[in-house]
Amino acid sequence: MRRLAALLAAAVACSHAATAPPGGGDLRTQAFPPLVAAADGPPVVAVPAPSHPTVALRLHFLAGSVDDPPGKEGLTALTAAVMAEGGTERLSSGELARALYPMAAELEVVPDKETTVFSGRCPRADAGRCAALLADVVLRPRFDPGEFERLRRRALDALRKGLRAEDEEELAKEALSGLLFAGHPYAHPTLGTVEGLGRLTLDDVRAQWRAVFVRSRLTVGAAGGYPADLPAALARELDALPPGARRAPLPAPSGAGPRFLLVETPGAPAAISLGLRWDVRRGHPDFPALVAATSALGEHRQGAAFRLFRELRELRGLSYGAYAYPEHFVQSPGSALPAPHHARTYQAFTVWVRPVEQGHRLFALRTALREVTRWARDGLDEAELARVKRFLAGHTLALDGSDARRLGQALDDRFYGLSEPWLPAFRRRLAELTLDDVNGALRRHVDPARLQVAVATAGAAALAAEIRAGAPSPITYPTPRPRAVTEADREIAAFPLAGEVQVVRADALFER
Amino acid sequence: MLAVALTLTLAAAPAAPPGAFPTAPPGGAFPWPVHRRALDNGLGVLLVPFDSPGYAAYFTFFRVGSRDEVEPGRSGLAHFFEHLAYRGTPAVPAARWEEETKGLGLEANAFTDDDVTAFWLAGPASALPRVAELEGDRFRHLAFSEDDFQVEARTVLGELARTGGSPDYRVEAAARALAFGRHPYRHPVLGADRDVRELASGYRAALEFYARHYRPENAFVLVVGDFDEEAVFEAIRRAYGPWKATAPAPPPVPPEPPLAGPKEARQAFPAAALPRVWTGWRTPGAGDLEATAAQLVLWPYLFGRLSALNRQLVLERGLAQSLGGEFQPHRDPFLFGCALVLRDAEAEGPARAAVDAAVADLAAGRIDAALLADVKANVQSGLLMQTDTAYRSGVWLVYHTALGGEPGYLDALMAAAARVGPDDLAAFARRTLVPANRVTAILAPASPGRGGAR
Repeated sequence: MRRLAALLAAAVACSHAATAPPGGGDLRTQAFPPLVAAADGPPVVAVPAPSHPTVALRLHFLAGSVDDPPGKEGLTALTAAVMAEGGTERLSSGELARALYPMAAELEVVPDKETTVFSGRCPRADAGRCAALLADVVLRPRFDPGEFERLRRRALDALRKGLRAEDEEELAKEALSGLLFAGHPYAHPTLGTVEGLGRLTLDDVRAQWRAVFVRSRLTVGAAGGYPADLPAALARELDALPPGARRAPLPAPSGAGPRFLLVETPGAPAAISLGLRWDVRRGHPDFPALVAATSALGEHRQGAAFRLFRELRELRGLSYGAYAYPEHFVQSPGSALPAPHHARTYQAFTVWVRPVEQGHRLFALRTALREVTRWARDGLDEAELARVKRFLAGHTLALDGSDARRLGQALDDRFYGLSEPWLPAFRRRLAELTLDDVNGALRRHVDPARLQVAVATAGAAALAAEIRAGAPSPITYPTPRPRAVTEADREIAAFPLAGEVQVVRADALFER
Repeated sequence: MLAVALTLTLAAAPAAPPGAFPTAPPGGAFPWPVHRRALDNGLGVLLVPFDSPGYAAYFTFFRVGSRDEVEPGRSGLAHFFEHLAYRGTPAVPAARWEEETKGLGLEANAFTDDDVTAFWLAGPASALPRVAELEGDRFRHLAFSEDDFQVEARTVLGELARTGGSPDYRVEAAARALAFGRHPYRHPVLGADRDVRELASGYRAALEFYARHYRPENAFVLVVGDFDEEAVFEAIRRAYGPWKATAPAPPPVPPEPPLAGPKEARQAFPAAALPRVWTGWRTPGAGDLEATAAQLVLWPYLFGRLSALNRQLVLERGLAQSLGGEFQPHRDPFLFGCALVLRDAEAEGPARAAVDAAVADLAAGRIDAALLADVKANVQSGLLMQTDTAYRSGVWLVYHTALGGEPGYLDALMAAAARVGPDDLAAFARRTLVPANRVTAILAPASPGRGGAR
């Protein structure tokens, strides 16, 4: 019953793309140059398209869960939620929602590790009213005790009931993130921890608002059919924020947990995530090559032209799919495209294997590990690289294919401090990439021995015993498989698994 | 053979014959022009110019869904076909289709629902002629071996494992099973669990399902974006024109007798999830335009974020964490209701009483006129906000065209929704939201000490 809504919810999939054919240049970006202005107020990134019927607005703060004080994990995200949903001095929470409702306007907060974005979208005719409400939630939050308690409880339920009990796939991803960034300010979920959220008071929230949602951390963004003077007017109004201070640079992550973290869950299917930290991100000279290489391994939600999907689903029917990511990835609701506003200084290469039946979980894990190992060791060949380059040349057209996406890209570019915007730079570099560039970058940045694995599954102790024993995990099929598959299966079934194995109960994760 | 190029826009569409599915006059709420054509084999073609320079979304959709799974023990076939359709043809094997579409820079996917199955590609508009060739070939000559069938059956099991275990899915499935005895709406789109586990044995049934439902007169091609209409129509005509049905038309879907409610079921859920209640009514299908428009407005009025119920249950009393669901028109009588995620087991009684009280107020004509006006404005603005890309605009048309085979149904529905007044809602509540149509499913965690992690 929710299918249509799911398909449509906030999807910004595929319109307003370039006039050029795939790989044909960056005409669109030239046609819509983001205007970065810093007159008398916070900087403004504007992407005008005067004839478009809707408007996107963003208040982008360099403030995120890394700003949570120790013991108060979750404070920044909760503060942002109280601001965006808890009402303003003038309007209660219900009155705020009511004011947005007839225009079907969206006013949301996008929390992350290093950034928090207050995001508005509305029909063009309502742009002024929508902008005023967006400014109001940041400048004059209501801090209503009832709303604070409701939102704090919601965050706790999302951790305790949602993440731990209802969503094995997100649980495995979050557990992997905790492994990769152990001991770092990234380690705890953006949402917080159970103890951290349990300690928070409304005074904490009020103080965090004053400390991190400040002028020196703000960039204002506007895109689409807004009135010409609106971005500057919005920036002038937000100049009333306290100046505040920018955050000191983050330390580099250095932690090293166990190789395998197995999370005991009530649900039978096994969710698998694996990955390793790497010292690259947008702007690094090797990053375009690694984006292309990772696409070949497992482009998100694409099919059997990509290795992991082919090996796990197409040839063996083990899983609904398996994908690989060169940077932190959050899917836009209702589309397969990455959501903007999740930029991070420190990145990881990760693989997501969709749920696997319990009887095949170890075989599926070995299949994924073997494939990543082969990919890192042997690299791509000319034909595969050419295919991936053609795919990405077309596919990346969708990444800035709407006003909201173009604005998101421009704000992320600012975060990364890029002298040349990422997408046009990537498209240009993509056309030039050679096999040596790609396979050399893989050798420099991917050591399969460093891969860490999180599995959320029932019967975690039994899986731990199997991994420690290193015993083969052969597979059988209801119908015969091609010889090449069964031969590979013999190798997969005995693929070596070395390293420390740790088992935890789901309800022990994210506690503090 | 030359196909008849029946070229007409919605504006030029002839008046619907008596008894036809509701459609609308021109100038409706859908913000983009819909140019309707047809091939003489019955395939509908919808061409929608859209401001997306160089870019287009291409859909082939079929008026078939889980609604059509009438054979006992064979639920899940419609969704299964969404998977099998990627298994290739003699001319273009699966791997080549993948490689070629990816080489063109296209994103490709599909979705299945109760009343529709749609396959789409989106990307550079310059690829459209080749896309039409690939898709025409795919649906005319789909060839899947029993071996492919087995592999995909296992994949669908994985999909069931991915979504079918969630409490939200379970409580909705329970409500469907209560509300329908014969009609295939009885099972979720993925199929009943045991049928999905038995999919691998249904190769013959699947071949027959394909032949009966995947036929040109049951299909539409829809293109939304920036393209040369004549050239693209010609490519579609070449690719799909020779397609002929190879089997008799499908049997009718069995009508469902009156519910004789209220009906209620309670299930245990093994994990430490919050309790869920799905509560609602069986209501008329899309052929009843006025009743469908009433539900379109009434759902957000009763259960939406601004509703009195949401304020009371979620914001003020904290009995529920959320009040969810949506109304989606269906071809046949379906369900209208909400999914409550409760704070705890004790909240069930008061939360259900609050739902009953809200409906009693409505039936008595106690209606908040200001809220109704805001809801109606939101319904119209919402369409504008959600048709901002070629893909999203296409999805709206796919869903609403599949209901009666008429793309004009969406405009007709939006126009009818704009006419809905307080008296209409009260009358609808008195007529339809009554105990005889009532369905309630409850999902609560198993008692402590049973199940869970050790």
